[in-house]
Amino acid sequence: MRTMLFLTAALAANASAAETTATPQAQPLAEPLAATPGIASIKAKAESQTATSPKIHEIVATRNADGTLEIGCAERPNPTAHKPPLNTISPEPQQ
Amino acid sequence: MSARKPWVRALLFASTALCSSAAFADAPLAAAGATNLTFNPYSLYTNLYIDIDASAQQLNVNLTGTGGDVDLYLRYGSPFPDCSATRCSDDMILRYAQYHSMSSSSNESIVVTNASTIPLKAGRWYIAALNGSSASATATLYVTTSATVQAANIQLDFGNPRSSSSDPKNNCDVAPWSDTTAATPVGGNAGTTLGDQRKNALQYAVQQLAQQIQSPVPINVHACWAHLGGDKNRATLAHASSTSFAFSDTSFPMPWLVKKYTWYTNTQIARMGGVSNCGALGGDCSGVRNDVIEITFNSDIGTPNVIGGSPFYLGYTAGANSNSSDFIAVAMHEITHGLGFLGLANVDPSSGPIGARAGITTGASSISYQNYDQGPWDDIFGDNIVKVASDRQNYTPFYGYELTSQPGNAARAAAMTSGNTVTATDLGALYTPTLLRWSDPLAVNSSANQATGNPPDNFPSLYAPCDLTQTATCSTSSGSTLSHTVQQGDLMNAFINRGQVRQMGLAAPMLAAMGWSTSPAAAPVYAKPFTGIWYDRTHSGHGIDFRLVRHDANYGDAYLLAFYTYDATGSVEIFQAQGNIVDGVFVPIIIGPDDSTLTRFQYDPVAKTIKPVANTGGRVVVDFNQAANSPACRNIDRSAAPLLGVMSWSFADTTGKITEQSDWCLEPLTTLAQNASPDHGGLYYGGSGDTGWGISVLDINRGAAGEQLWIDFYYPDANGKPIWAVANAQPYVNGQTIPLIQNAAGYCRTCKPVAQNQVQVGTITLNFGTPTTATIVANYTGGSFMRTNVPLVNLGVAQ
Repeated sequence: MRTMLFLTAALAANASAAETTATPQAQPLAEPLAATPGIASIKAKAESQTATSPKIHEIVATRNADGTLEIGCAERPNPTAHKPPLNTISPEPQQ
Repeated sequence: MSARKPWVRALLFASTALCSSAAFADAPLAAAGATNLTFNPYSLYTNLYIDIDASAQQLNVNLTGTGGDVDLYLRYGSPFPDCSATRCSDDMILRYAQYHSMSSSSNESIVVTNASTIPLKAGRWYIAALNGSSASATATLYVTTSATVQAANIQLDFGNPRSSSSDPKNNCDVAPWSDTTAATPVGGNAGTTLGDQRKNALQYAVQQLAQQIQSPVPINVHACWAHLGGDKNRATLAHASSTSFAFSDTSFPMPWLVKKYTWYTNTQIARMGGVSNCGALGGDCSGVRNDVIEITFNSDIGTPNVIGGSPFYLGYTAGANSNSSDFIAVAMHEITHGLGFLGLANVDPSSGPIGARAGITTGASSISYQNYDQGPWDDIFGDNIVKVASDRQNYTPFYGYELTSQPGNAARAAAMTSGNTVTATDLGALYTPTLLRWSDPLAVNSSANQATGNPPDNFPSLYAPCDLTQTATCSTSSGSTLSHTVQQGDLMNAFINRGQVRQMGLAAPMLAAMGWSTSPAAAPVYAKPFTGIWYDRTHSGHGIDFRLVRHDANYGDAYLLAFYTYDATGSVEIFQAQGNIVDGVFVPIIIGPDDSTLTRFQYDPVAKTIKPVANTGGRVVVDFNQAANSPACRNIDRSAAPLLGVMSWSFADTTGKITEQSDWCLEPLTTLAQNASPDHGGLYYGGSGDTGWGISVLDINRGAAGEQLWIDFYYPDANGKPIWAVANAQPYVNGQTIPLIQNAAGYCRTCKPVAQNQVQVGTITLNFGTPTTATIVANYTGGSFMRTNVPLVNLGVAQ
């Protein structure tokens, strides 16, 4: 049997901001999932293309001689974003 | 219910149930309450659906579950695969989805509005729910619609403290939010303790932002304090950032991001996806894990030795004088950076070349500007910027189409330091236009834009001088450059003490161009690939024969993909896939017994048929959308190609360990417009009683040079392993005998290209007519594959 469920959502006729809830009634059956590559693997892919922000923005106040403040914003390296090790080219073998 | 139509039972492909347009004839079920779903381990529901009428402006899909790890997927207009008829994997469901929420829990939520990237439209929205856990689960699905878009709040997380003895400046101290020191109400802030006034002021700041950005999903901000120090002349007031960046690519698609292969902040990802941070990117949603911005205030402000004891001004209304710091403006400015108002181009010389785009070093969780081995990628902020010529007569994209080698670094660096020098004692040039401009029309045409004239004069300038306090070397310290405006009074001006700013001003339309728009959006347009030979010019000799075999309005057109390539020894071999074009992406079905989608078939010479082998572990997907943005397509100049696709392929051993993988940039050998008329192109085989081999034909009109016939011929060798040869004739005359050519010294998929050594391995004669027939002699080590005047069946269909 194919798993298909129809969810109806009749919008309220006077729904200026009204919210209605779809209320399906049947109980479909879950189909088995192929075991590979696995949800954990998929989520790991997301991690591999996510990175800590390399930058933070910092509001800095500088006090003038007359006691007034100049307030500016500057970009700084994010101290919590560790820099990855540099890829280095191995030196030529020594004779 | 209609019977399924197996669509390919021949050629080199095994009979496999596939997503078919005839699959859906079920009657809708009546409504009677929330939908309860019960999941066995590793199970899923597909093609639950809801029909939306034209009055709906917002769709909320919520799943509340217990046990397991149930994830939620959503797409418009056409169904997910019918997993009762074909084996489905989570990878396949993810690739069909236009939105997903896939945290590590079974509580998921997706919001789609008329302003979403794939906007809410009248019609059918399909829902899939998948339990990817070894534990069973139960869940309840709620779907609601609204005739208006309902804005959510920016939510403040005043908890989840963090301390580090080695780096106390990175602490998150939350105690100052509950400081009981008595305070006098000020500027509309009615708090009577310092802690309450601080909380009230921050709450007021985020309310101002929330009212102006109108996000349909909540944005969670972690609110912290730390001893950031300072001296009598200078101190940091606060700092902030979005907590992470990510991009969408073939490995992990997030189709709601307008630009693929482009960095976005997690705030933008959540906003555009109508989803939580953990829902978009996976992981735990609890506590600080779901905070997408962290802002840290300096708890030393107001102490005697720091900038003369000048405190924060915590009032809502005007009152901050020139020797106090407006807390609300500081908070609004910093949180707006976290919403995505920042460029990722490098401005830190210790991290790499100034102007460099951001890449990743494999295994690292942070961005690299040099020596990366993935990327680099554009970022969405930089994609809206142009570099204006010094005569201000024309302009070029800040990023544009650029090769991986990043030849544009120097030009970007020049633009980022194109303003006048500004020093701590000479602020006269703060508002001078620069050559670094914002070009998106939403901001250019906004009433908040003070720049006038014709483009690029009316493009708002971005701040691009030397650092505030360093006068000499912009090239080594560009400070505030890139991620600030220069308009006086702007919230995102690099100098925010020019008034008590409460309005986002130009930042609002600038953010709108980066995913925060509240205007109704147009439906996305997806790439339309076509039949032909596709190859990566940096891996010439390998390629795919990509053949349309059935039009399918429901699941997307069905294609066969033959990956003709060489093994580790340089010998010819073929793998195959079959699937549908889903939103411009070739999404294969599982055809191998090992759940592979890219599979080798084994030929049975007695039965004249084939079956898939058990151990290729192959996977493939080809994404034809915005491929030019991908690093795979930027290793050499391909800007002249009519269409590009990123083919991500991999093979794994029997334990699932990846043994080889790559992303290749495909382009077509010919276009449809080049086909001959009549076009004899097609995908031919010997009919249902003679499968396991085939002939792919391109029939090309070469004008005065005559008709060209290009043939990829697939046949089994002595061991039943499929191999391939090619034939080429120009001018071609129907019925002529053409030599079959094979490269006797190919190179492996991950090897550097080598010179071809072509040898003749036989002949092929095609007579196009009724019926079309073939006579073939194709040699292999130890024998020959032969057919004489056999009638052919064409599986290919016209585009």
